[in-house]
Amino acid sequence: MKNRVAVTGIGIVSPIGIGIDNFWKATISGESGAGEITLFDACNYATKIAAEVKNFNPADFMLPEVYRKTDRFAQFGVAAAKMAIEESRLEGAYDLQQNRIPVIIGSGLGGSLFHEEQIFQLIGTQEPKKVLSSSVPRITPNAVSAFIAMQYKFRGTNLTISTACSSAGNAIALAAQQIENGKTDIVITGGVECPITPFTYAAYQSLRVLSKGLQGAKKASRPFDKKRDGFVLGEGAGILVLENYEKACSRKAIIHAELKGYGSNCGAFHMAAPDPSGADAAAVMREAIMHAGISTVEIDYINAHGTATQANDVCEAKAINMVFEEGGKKPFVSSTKSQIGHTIGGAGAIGAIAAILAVKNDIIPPNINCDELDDQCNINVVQEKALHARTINAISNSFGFGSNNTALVFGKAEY
Amino acid sequence: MNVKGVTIMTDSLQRKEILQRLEKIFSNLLRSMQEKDLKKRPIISFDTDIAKDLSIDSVETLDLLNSIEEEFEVSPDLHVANTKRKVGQIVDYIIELQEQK
Repeated sequence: MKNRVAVTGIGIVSPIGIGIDNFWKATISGESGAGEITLFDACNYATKIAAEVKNFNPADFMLPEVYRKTDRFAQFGVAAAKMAIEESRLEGAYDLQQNRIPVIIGSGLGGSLFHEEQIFQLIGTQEPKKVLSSSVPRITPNAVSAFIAMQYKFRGTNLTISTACSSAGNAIALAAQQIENGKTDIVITGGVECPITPFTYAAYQSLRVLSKGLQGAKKASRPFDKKRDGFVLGEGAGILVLENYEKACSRKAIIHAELKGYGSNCGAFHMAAPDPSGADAAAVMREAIMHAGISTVEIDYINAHGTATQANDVCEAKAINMVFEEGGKKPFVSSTKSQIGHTIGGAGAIGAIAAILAVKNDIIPPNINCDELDDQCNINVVQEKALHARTINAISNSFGFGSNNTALVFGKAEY
Repeated sequence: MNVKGVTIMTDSLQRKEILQRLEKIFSNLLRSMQEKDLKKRPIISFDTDIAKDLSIDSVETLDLLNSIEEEFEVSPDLHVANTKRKVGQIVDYIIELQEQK
Protein backbone atom coordinates (compact mmCIF):
# COMPACT_ATOMS: atom_id res chain seq x y z
CA MET A 1 0.00 0.00 0.00
CA LYS A 2 1.35 3.40 -0.96
CA ASN A 3 2.07 6.11 1.60
CA ARG A 4 -0.12 9.19 1.55
CA VAL A 5 1.44 12.55 0.69
CA ALA A 6 0.82 15.81 2.56
CA VAL A 7 1.72 19.35 1.52
CA THR A 8 3.19 20.90 4.65
CA GLY A 9 5.15 23.83 3.28
CA ILE A 10 4.65 26.42 0.56
CA GLY A 11 7.06 29.06 -0.71
CA ILE A 12 6.34 31.36 -3.61
CA VAL A 13 7.94 34.17 -5.58
CA SER A 14 5.37 35.52 -8.03
CA PRO A 15 4.52 38.64 -10.02
CA ILE A 16 1.61 39.30 -7.65
CA GLY A 17 3.43 38.73 -4.40
CA ILE A 18 6.29 37.08 -2.60
CA GLY A 19 5.28 34.64 0.12
CA ILE A 20 2.13 32.56 0.54
CA ASP A 21 0.04 35.26 2.26
CA ASN A 22 0.81 38.01 -0.25
CA PHE A 23 0.25 35.65 -3.18
CA TRP A 24 -3.09 34.33 -1.92
CA LYS A 25 -4.41 37.75 -0.98
CA ALA A 26 -3.56 39.09 -4.45
CA THR A 27 -4.94 35.96 -6.11
CA ILE A 28 -8.37 36.13 -4.57
CA SER A 29 -8.48 39.90 -5.05
CA GLY A 30 -8.06 39.33 -8.78
CA GLU A 31 -4.85 41.34 -9.14
CA SER A 32 -2.79 41.27 -12.31
CA GLY A 33 1.00 41.14 -12.19
CA ALA A 34 1.45 42.21 -15.81
CA GLY A 35 3.07 45.49 -16.81
CA GLU A 36 5.64 47.12 -19.05
CA ILE A 37 8.92 45.23 -19.26
CA THR A 38 11.61 46.68 -16.99
CA LEU A 39 14.08 43.78 -16.88
CA PHE A 40 15.55 44.69 -20.27
CA ASP A 41 15.16 47.42 -22.85
CA ALA A 42 12.22 46.26 -24.98
CA CYS A 43 11.93 49.36 -27.16
CA ASN A 44 12.65 47.35 -30.35
CA TYR A 45 10.15 44.63 -29.50
CA ALA A 46 6.66 44.54 -30.98
CA THR A 47 5.32 43.32 -27.61
CA LYS A 48 6.50 45.10 -24.50
CA ILE A 49 4.62 43.52 -21.62
CA ALA A 50 5.44 40.81 -19.13
CA ALA A 51 4.57 39.73 -15.61
CA GLU A 52 7.71 40.50 -13.64
CA VAL A 53 8.43 39.80 -9.99
CA LYS A 54 8.72 43.13 -8.23
CA ASN A 55 10.96 44.09 -5.33
CA PHE A 56 12.81 40.79 -5.14
CA ASN A 57 15.99 41.24 -3.16
CA PRO A 58 17.99 38.01 -3.03
CA ALA A 59 19.86 39.30 0.02
CA ASP A 60 16.62 38.86 1.99
CA PHE A 61 16.82 35.10 1.47
CA MET A 62 20.42 34.02 0.98
CA LEU A 63 24.00 34.94 1.68
CA PRO A 64 26.11 37.00 -0.75
CA GLU A 65 28.21 33.94 -1.65
CA VAL A 66 25.02 32.32 -2.94
CA TYR A 67 23.38 35.19 -4.81
CA ARG A 68 26.65 36.34 -6.36
CA LYS A 69 27.12 32.91 -7.90
CA THR A 70 23.59 32.33 -9.13
CA ASP A 71 21.29 33.37 -11.92
CA ARG A 72 17.95 35.00 -11.10
CA PHE A 73 16.08 31.70 -11.61
CA ALA A 74 18.18 29.87 -9.01
CA GLN A 75 17.77 32.79 -6.61
CA PHE A 76 13.98 32.55 -6.97
CA GLY A 77 14.15 28.80 -6.29
CA VAL A 78 16.37 29.13 -3.23
CA ALA A 79 14.17 31.94 -1.85
CA ALA A 80 10.94 29.98 -2.36
CA ALA A 81 12.52 26.85 -0.85
CA LYS A 82 13.58 28.82 2.23
CA MET A 83 10.03 30.11 2.68
CA ALA A 84 8.55 26.61 2.22
CA ILE A 85 10.96 24.93 4.62
CA GLU A 86 10.47 27.59 7.28
CA GLU A 87 6.71 27.45 6.85
CA SER A 88 6.66 23.66 7.21
CA ARG A 89 8.54 23.83 10.53
CA LEU A 90 10.48 20.74 9.56
CA GLU A 91 13.48 21.87 11.52
CA GLY A 92 13.20 20.53 15.00
CA ALA A 93 10.78 17.80 13.95
CA TYR A 94 13.39 16.01 11.83
CA ASP A 95 17.16 15.90 11.78
CA LEU A 96 17.27 17.41 8.30
CA GLN A 97 20.94 16.86 7.68
CA GLN A 98 20.70 13.16 8.52
CA ASN A 99 17.75 12.65 6.19
CA ARG A 100 18.53 11.88 2.58
CA ILE A 101 15.97 14.45 1.46
CA PRO A 102 15.41 14.63 -2.30
CA VAL A 103 15.11 17.95 -4.11
CA ILE A 104 13.20 17.68 -7.39
CA ILE A 105 12.56 20.96 -9.22
CA GLY A 106 11.12 21.80 -12.63
CA SER A 107 12.71 24.38 -14.94
CA GLY A 108 12.28 24.63 -18.68
CA LEU A 109 15.14 27.01 -19.43
CA GLY A 110 17.63 27.19 -16.57
CA GLY A 111 19.82 30.27 -16.19
CA SER A 112 18.81 32.00 -19.39
CA LEU A 113 19.58 35.51 -18.12
CA PHE A 114 23.25 34.85 -17.56
CA HIS A 115 23.45 32.58 -20.60
CA GLU A 116 22.19 35.31 -22.91
CA GLU A 117 24.36 37.97 -21.31
CA GLN A 118 27.48 35.92 -21.98
CA ILE A 119 26.44 35.05 -25.55
CA PHE A 120 25.71 38.70 -26.37
CA GLN A 121 29.10 39.65 -24.95
CA LEU A 122 30.85 37.01 -27.05
CA ILE A 123 29.08 38.11 -30.21
CA GLY A 124 29.78 41.76 -29.42
CA THR A 125 33.47 41.37 -28.60
CA GLN A 126 34.34 38.29 -30.65
CA GLU A 127 36.63 37.42 -27.76
CA PRO A 128 35.94 33.91 -26.46
CA LYS A 129 38.35 34.50 -23.58
CA LYS A 130 35.89 36.99 -22.12
CA VAL A 131 33.28 34.29 -21.55
CA LEU A 132 33.25 33.53 -17.83
CA SER A 133 34.05 29.98 -16.78
CA SER A 134 31.48 30.40 -14.02
CA SER A 135 28.84 30.59 -16.77
CA VAL A 136 28.70 26.80 -16.72
CA PRO A 137 27.45 26.37 -13.13
CA ARG A 138 25.26 29.47 -13.38
CA ILE A 139 23.46 28.47 -16.56
CA THR A 140 22.87 24.79 -15.88
CA PRO A 141 19.20 24.11 -15.05
CA ASN A 142 20.12 21.94 -12.07
CA ALA A 143 21.81 24.93 -10.39
CA VAL A 144 18.45 25.50 -8.70
CA SER A 145 18.08 22.02 -7.17
CA ALA A 146 21.79 21.93 -6.34
CA PHE A 147 21.79 25.29 -4.55
CA ILE A 148 18.66 24.37 -2.57
CA ALA A 149 20.40 21.14 -1.49
CA MET A 150 23.61 22.96 -0.59
CA GLN A 151 21.75 25.45 1.59
CA TYR A 152 20.30 22.69 3.75
CA LYS A 153 22.69 19.76 3.14
CA PHE A 154 19.92 17.69 1.60
CA ARG A 155 21.81 14.67 0.29
CA GLY A 156 19.04 12.67 -1.37
CA THR A 157 18.20 12.39 -5.06
CA ASN A 158 18.68 15.79 -6.67
CA LEU A 159 16.95 16.42 -9.97
CA THR A 160 15.87 19.21 -12.23
CA ILE A 161 13.12 18.16 -14.59
CA SER A 162 12.84 19.98 -17.90
CA THR A 163 9.65 19.36 -19.83
CA ALA A 164 8.84 22.95 -20.80
CA CYS A 165 5.57 24.20 -19.28
CA SER A 166 4.84 20.91 -17.49
CA SER A 167 8.28 20.78 -15.82
CA ALA A 168 6.94 21.56 -12.36
CA GLY A 169 3.99 19.17 -12.73
CA ASN A 170 6.34 16.32 -13.54
CA ALA A 171 8.72 17.33 -10.75
CA ILE A 172 5.91 17.31 -8.18
CA ALA A 173 4.55 13.97 -9.45
CA LEU A 174 8.00 12.38 -9.26
CA ALA A 175 8.54 13.87 -5.81
CA ALA A 176 5.25 12.41 -4.59
CA GLN A 177 6.35 8.97 -5.82
CA GLN A 178 9.40 9.14 -3.54
CA ILE A 179 7.09 9.36 -0.51
CA GLU A 180 4.48 6.93 -1.81
CA ASN A 181 7.18 4.30 -2.33
CA GLY A 182 8.62 4.85 1.12
CA LYS A 183 11.97 6.07 -0.17
CA THR A 184 11.76 9.22 1.91
CA ASP A 185 9.43 11.04 4.32
CA ILE A 186 10.16 14.51 2.95
CA VAL A 187 10.76 15.94 -0.51
CA ILE A 188 11.39 19.52 -1.63
CA THR A 189 9.78 20.08 -5.02
CA GLY A 190 8.25 22.66 -7.32
CA GLY A 191 9.20 24.74 -10.32
CA VAL A 192 10.94 27.94 -11.30
CA GLU A 193 11.55 30.10 -14.36
CA CYS A 194 12.90 33.52 -15.31
CA PRO A 195 12.25 33.77 -19.05
CA ILE A 196 11.92 37.56 -19.31
CA THR A 197 15.26 37.98 -21.05
CA PRO A 198 16.04 39.58 -24.43
CA PHE A 199 16.55 36.41 -26.47
CA THR A 200 13.96 34.18 -24.81
CA TYR A 201 11.32 36.89 -24.99
CA ALA A 202 12.12 37.49 -28.68
CA ALA A 203 11.83 33.77 -29.38
CA TYR A 204 8.36 33.56 -27.82
CA GLN A 205 7.40 36.70 -29.70
CA SER A 206 8.52 35.14 -32.99
CA LEU A 207 6.50 32.07 -32.11
CA ARG A 208 3.49 34.41 -32.11
CA VAL A 209 2.19 33.12 -28.81
CA LEU A 210 2.50 36.39 -26.88
CA SER A 211 -0.43 38.73 -26.32
CA LYS A 212 -0.01 42.13 -27.94
CA GLY A 213 -1.76 43.65 -24.94
CA LEU A 214 -3.79 46.06 -27.03
CA GLN A 215 -6.23 46.54 -24.14
CA GLY A 216 -3.42 47.35 -21.69
CA ALA A 217 -0.99 45.15 -19.83
CA LYS A 218 -3.32 44.16 -17.02
CA LYS A 219 -6.00 43.10 -19.49
CA ALA A 220 -3.58 41.20 -21.74
CA SER A 221 -3.78 37.71 -20.25
CA ARG A 222 -7.31 36.50 -21.02
CA PRO A 223 -7.58 32.72 -20.78
CA PHE A 224 -10.82 31.31 -22.27
CA ASP A 225 -11.98 34.80 -23.30
CA LYS A 226 -13.31 35.36 -26.80
CA LYS A 227 -10.78 38.17 -27.40
CA ARG A 228 -7.70 36.37 -26.09
CA ASP A 229 -4.63 36.79 -28.25
CA GLY A 230 -1.88 34.84 -26.53
CA PHE A 231 -0.10 34.75 -23.22
CA VAL A 232 1.91 37.20 -21.16
CA LEU A 233 5.33 35.85 -20.31
CA GLY A 234 5.80 35.68 -16.55
CA GLU A 235 8.48 34.68 -14.06
CA GLY A 236 8.44 33.11 -10.64
CA ALA A 237 8.95 30.10 -8.43
CA GLY A 238 6.71 27.83 -6.43
CA ILE A 239 8.20 25.34 -3.99
CA LEU A 240 6.39 22.74 -1.90
CA VAL A 241 7.44 20.63 1.03
CA LEU A 242 5.82 17.22 0.57
CA GLU A 243 5.75 14.96 3.59
CA ASN A 244 4.60 11.49 4.56
CA TYR A 245 0.99 12.17 5.59
CA GLU A 246 0.98 10.00 8.71
CA LYS A 247 4.26 11.47 9.95
CA ALA A 248 3.00 15.00 9.29
CA CYS A 249 -0.11 14.21 11.36
CA SER A 250 1.91 12.72 14.18
CA ARG A 251 4.08 15.85 14.46
CA LYS A 252 0.91 17.96 14.27
CA ALA A 253 2.11 19.78 11.16
CA ILE A 254 -0.15 22.20 9.34
CA ILE A 255 -1.29 20.22 6.31
CA HIS A 256 -2.34 22.55 3.51
CA ALA A 257 -3.74 19.70 1.43
CA GLU A 258 -3.17 16.09 0.49
CA LEU A 259 -1.53 15.33 -2.85
CA LYS A 260 -3.83 12.48 -3.74
CA GLY A 261 -2.90 11.64 -7.28
CA TYR A 262 -1.08 12.56 -10.41
CA GLY A 263 -0.95 11.73 -14.07
CA SER A 264 1.83 12.21 -16.60
CA ASN A 265 1.76 11.39 -20.31
CA CYS A 266 2.88 12.46 -23.74
CA GLY A 267 0.48 13.07 -26.58
CA ALA A 268 3.29 12.30 -29.07
CA PHE A 269 1.65 14.80 -31.38
CA HIS A 270 3.74 17.94 -32.03
CA MET A 271 6.59 19.92 -30.48
CA ALA A 272 4.57 23.15 -30.11
CA ALA A 273 0.90 22.51 -30.90
CA PRO A 274 -1.56 20.63 -28.70
CA ASP A 275 -3.48 17.67 -30.12
CA PRO A 276 -6.73 19.34 -31.29
CA SER A 277 -8.73 16.30 -30.20
CA GLY A 278 -7.80 16.96 -26.56
CA ALA A 279 -7.48 13.21 -26.08
CA ASP A 280 -4.05 13.32 -24.39
CA ALA A 281 -5.07 16.12 -22.02
CA ALA A 282 -8.25 14.22 -21.12
CA ALA A 283 -6.25 11.03 -20.57
CA VAL A 284 -3.84 12.68 -18.15
CA MET A 285 -6.69 14.12 -16.06
CA ARG A 286 -8.38 10.71 -15.94
CA GLU A 287 -5.11 9.08 -14.92
CA ALA A 288 -4.64 11.55 -12.05
CA ILE A 289 -8.23 11.14 -10.82
CA MET A 290 -7.94 7.36 -10.96
CA HIS A 291 -4.62 7.47 -9.11
CA ALA A 292 -6.28 9.63 -6.44
CA GLY A 293 -8.90 6.91 -6.02
CA ILE A 294 -11.81 9.28 -6.54
CA SER A 295 -14.37 9.81 -9.29
CA THR A 296 -14.78 12.78 -11.61
CA VAL A 297 -17.84 14.02 -9.72
CA GLU A 298 -15.66 14.53 -6.66
CA ILE A 299 -13.53 17.17 -8.41
CA ASP A 300 -14.77 20.66 -7.48
CA TYR A 301 -12.16 22.87 -9.10
CA ILE A 302 -9.74 22.75 -12.02
CA ASN A 303 -6.73 25.06 -12.01
CA ALA A 304 -6.39 25.02 -15.76
CA HIS A 305 -3.24 25.25 -17.81
CA GLY A 306 -5.20 28.08 -19.52
CA THR A 307 -2.44 29.91 -21.37
CA ALA A 308 -4.79 32.18 -23.37
CA THR A 309 -3.51 30.94 -26.72
CA GLN A 310 -6.23 30.07 -29.21
CA ALA A 311 -5.15 26.45 -29.48
CA ASN A 312 -4.50 25.59 -25.83
CA ASP A 313 -7.72 26.94 -24.40
CA VAL A 314 -9.97 25.24 -26.97
CA CYS A 315 -8.17 21.90 -26.60
CA GLU A 316 -8.14 22.08 -22.81
CA ALA A 317 -11.83 23.00 -22.64
CA LYS A 318 -12.60 20.11 -24.97
CA ALA A 319 -10.57 17.74 -22.77
CA ILE A 320 -12.28 19.00 -19.59
CA ASN A 321 -15.67 18.41 -21.16
CA MET A 322 -14.64 14.91 -22.29
CA VAL A 323 -13.63 13.96 -18.76
CA PHE A 324 -16.35 15.65 -16.75
CA GLU A 325 -19.38 15.29 -18.99
CA GLU A 326 -19.29 11.61 -18.08
CA GLY A 327 -20.22 12.46 -14.47
CA GLY A 328 -22.56 15.26 -15.41
CA LYS A 329 -20.81 17.75 -13.13
CA LYS A 330 -19.04 20.85 -14.39
CA PRO A 331 -16.27 21.77 -11.94
CA PHE A 332 -15.25 25.40 -11.54
CA VAL A 333 -12.31 26.37 -13.73
CA SER A 334 -9.79 29.20 -13.55
CA SER A 335 -6.31 29.85 -14.82
CA THR A 336 -3.70 31.44 -12.56
CA LYS A 337 -1.99 32.63 -15.75
CA SER A 338 -4.72 35.25 -16.08
CA GLN A 339 -3.01 36.98 -13.14
CA ILE A 340 0.67 36.07 -13.29
CA GLY A 341 1.17 35.27 -16.95
CA HIS A 342 2.86 32.10 -18.14
CA THR A 343 5.80 31.25 -15.92
CA ILE A 344 6.82 28.25 -18.09
CA GLY A 345 8.72 25.82 -15.81
CA GLY A 346 7.30 27.51 -12.72
CA ALA A 347 3.69 27.48 -13.95
CA GLY A 348 2.80 23.96 -12.79
CA ALA A 349 3.97 24.70 -9.27
CA ILE A 350 2.31 28.09 -8.94
CA GLY A 351 -0.93 26.70 -10.39
CA ALA A 352 -0.67 23.80 -7.95
CA ILE A 353 -0.26 26.25 -5.06
CA ALA A 354 -3.41 28.07 -6.16
CA ALA A 355 -5.26 24.72 -6.26
CA ILE A 356 -3.91 23.73 -2.82
CA LEU A 357 -5.00 27.04 -1.28
CA ALA A 358 -8.41 26.77 -2.97
CA VAL A 359 -8.91 23.38 -1.32
CA LYS A 360 -7.62 24.64 2.00
CA ASN A 361 -9.68 27.84 2.10
CA ASP A 362 -12.80 26.87 0.12
CA ILE A 363 -12.20 29.80 -2.21
CA ILE A 364 -11.94 29.38 -5.98
CA PRO A 365 -9.51 31.93 -7.48
CA PRO A 366 -10.88 34.06 -10.30
CA ASN A 367 -9.96 33.79 -13.96
CA ILE A 368 -9.56 37.51 -14.57
CA ASN A 369 -10.11 39.14 -17.96
CA CYS A 370 -12.51 36.47 -19.17
CA ASP A 371 -15.15 39.06 -19.97
CA GLU A 372 -16.87 37.01 -22.65
CA LEU A 373 -16.40 33.26 -22.58
CA ASP A 374 -15.32 31.84 -25.94
CA ASP A 375 -18.13 29.68 -27.37
CA GLN A 376 -15.52 27.02 -28.08
CA CYS A 377 -14.56 26.94 -24.40
CA ASN A 378 -17.83 25.78 -22.93
CA ILE A 379 -16.60 25.17 -19.40
CA ASN A 380 -17.48 26.60 -15.99
CA VAL A 381 -14.96 29.48 -15.84
CA VAL A 382 -14.98 31.57 -12.66
CA GLN A 383 -15.06 34.97 -14.25
CA GLU A 384 -14.11 38.24 -12.60
CA LYS A 385 -14.27 37.49 -8.87
CA ALA A 386 -13.15 34.74 -6.50
CA LEU A 387 -15.90 32.38 -5.44
CA HIS A 388 -16.55 31.01 -1.97
CA ALA A 389 -17.46 27.37 -2.55
CA ARG A 390 -16.86 24.12 -0.69
CA THR A 391 -13.78 22.65 -2.40
CA ILE A 392 -12.86 19.10 -1.47
CA ASN A 393 -10.74 18.13 -4.45
CA ALA A 394 -8.97 20.13 -7.14
CA ILE A 395 -6.94 19.31 -10.23
CA SER A 396 -3.99 21.35 -11.46
CA ASN A 397 -3.21 20.91 -15.17
CA SER A 398 0.09 21.58 -16.93
CA PHE A 399 0.63 21.00 -20.62
CA GLY A 400 4.10 21.50 -22.07
CA PHE A 401 5.71 21.70 -25.48
CA GLY A 402 6.35 18.25 -26.89
CA SER A 403 2.76 17.23 -26.01
CA ASN A 404 3.97 16.75 -22.45
CA ASN A 405 1.07 16.68 -20.01
CA THR A 406 0.63 16.42 -16.25
CA ALA A 407 -2.29 16.66 -13.85
CA LEU A 408 -2.11 16.77 -10.05
CA VAL A 409 -5.06 16.09 -7.72
CA PHE A 410 -5.12 17.81 -4.34
CA GLY A 411 -7.68 16.98 -1.65
CA LYS A 412 -8.73 18.63 1.57
CA ALA A 413 -6.68 17.54 4.58
CA GLU A 414 -8.48 15.46 7.16
CA TYR A 415 -7.84 16.14 10.80
CA MET B 1 67.22 57.72 2.02
CA ASN B 2 65.60 59.97 -0.51
CA VAL B 3 66.11 57.51 -3.29
CA LYS B 4 64.76 54.69 -1.15
CA GLY B 5 61.81 56.84 -0.09
CA VAL B 6 60.90 57.58 -3.69
CA THR B 7 61.16 53.90 -4.54
CA ILE B 8 58.79 52.97 -1.72
CA MET B 9 56.32 55.64 -2.81
CA THR B 10 56.44 54.41 -6.39
CA ASP B 11 55.84 50.84 -5.24
CA SER B 12 52.94 51.97 -3.15
CA LEU B 13 51.42 53.92 -6.02
CA GLN B 14 51.88 50.98 -8.35
CA ARG B 15 50.23 48.63 -5.87
CA LYS B 16 47.32 51.03 -5.35
CA GLU B 17 46.83 51.43 -9.07
CA ILE B 18 46.79 47.65 -9.56
CA LEU B 19 44.38 47.31 -6.64
CA GLN B 20 41.98 49.79 -8.28
CA ARG B 21 42.05 47.85 -11.53
CA LEU B 22 41.54 44.60 -9.62
CA GLU B 23 38.54 46.12 -7.85
CA LYS B 24 36.82 46.53 -11.22
CA ILE B 25 37.57 42.91 -12.09
CA PHE B 26 36.16 41.69 -8.78
CA SER B 27 33.13 43.90 -9.21
CA ASN B 28 32.39 42.26 -12.54
CA LEU B 29 33.07 38.74 -11.33
CA LEU B 30 31.07 39.05 -8.15
CA ARG B 31 28.28 40.98 -9.85
CA SER B 32 28.46 43.16 -6.79
CA MET B 33 27.04 46.15 -8.61
CA GLN B 34 23.68 44.37 -8.47
CA GLU B 35 23.60 44.74 -4.72
CA LYS B 36 21.22 47.51 -3.80
CA ASP B 37 22.54 47.80 -0.27
CA LEU B 38 25.90 49.57 -0.61
CA LYS B 39 26.96 48.30 2.78
CA LYS B 40 26.73 44.74 1.49
CA ARG B 41 29.06 45.35 -1.42
CA PRO B 42 32.36 43.63 -0.76
CA ILE B 43 35.29 45.78 0.27
CA ILE B 44 38.46 44.98 -1.63
CA SER B 45 41.72 45.76 0.17
CA PHE B 46 45.22 44.31 0.18
CA ASP B 47 44.16 42.25 3.18
CA THR B 48 41.05 40.74 1.62
CA ASP B 49 41.12 36.95 1.49
CA ILE B 50 39.52 36.02 -1.83
CA ALA B 51 38.24 32.63 -0.62
CA LYS B 52 37.23 33.54 2.91
CA ASP B 53 35.98 37.10 2.40
CA LEU B 54 34.73 36.95 -1.20
CA SER B 55 33.79 33.24 -1.44
CA ILE B 56 35.63 32.95 -4.74
CA ASP B 57 35.73 29.26 -5.57
CA SER B 58 37.92 27.22 -7.91
CA VAL B 59 35.77 27.97 -10.96
CA GLU B 60 35.75 31.70 -10.29
CA THR B 61 39.51 31.62 -9.76
CA LEU B 62 39.77 30.72 -13.44
CA ASP B 63 37.67 33.76 -14.34
CA LEU B 64 39.89 35.88 -12.13
CA LEU B 65 43.02 34.57 -13.86
CA ASN B 66 41.56 35.15 -17.31
CA SER B 67 40.61 38.69 -16.38
CA ILE B 68 44.04 39.43 -14.88
CA GLU B 69 45.67 38.02 -18.01
CA GLU B 70 43.68 40.38 -20.19
CA GLU B 71 43.76 43.47 -18.02
CA PHE B 72 47.47 43.40 -17.16
CA GLU B 73 48.73 41.57 -20.25
CA VAL B 74 50.58 38.98 -18.16
CA SER B 75 50.49 35.18 -18.13
CA PRO B 76 49.90 33.97 -14.60
CA ASP B 77 50.70 30.37 -13.80
CA LEU B 78 47.64 28.54 -12.50
CA HIS B 79 49.50 26.60 -9.81
CA VAL B 80 51.35 29.66 -8.54
CA ALA B 81 48.21 31.80 -8.69
CA ASN B 82 46.32 29.21 -6.62
CA THR B 83 48.71 29.83 -3.73
CA LYS B 84 47.77 33.54 -3.58
CA ARG B 85 44.88 33.96 -1.19
CA LYS B 86 45.15 37.64 -0.26
CA VAL B 87 44.51 40.45 -2.73
CA GLY B 88 47.87 41.97 -1.70
CA GLN B 89 49.62 38.75 -2.73
CA ILE B 90 47.85 38.86 -6.09
CA VAL B 91 48.93 42.47 -6.58
CA ASP B 92 52.54 41.53 -5.83
CA TYR B 93 52.32 38.55 -8.21
CA ILE B 94 51.07 40.85 -10.99
CA ILE B 95 53.99 43.22 -10.36
CA GLU B 96 56.36 40.25 -10.44
CA LEU B 97 54.91 39.09 -13.77
CA GLN B 98 55.08 42.59 -15.22
CA GLU B 99 58.73 42.90 -14.25
CA GLN B 100 59.49 39.57 -15.93
CA LYS B 101 58.19 40.83 -19.26
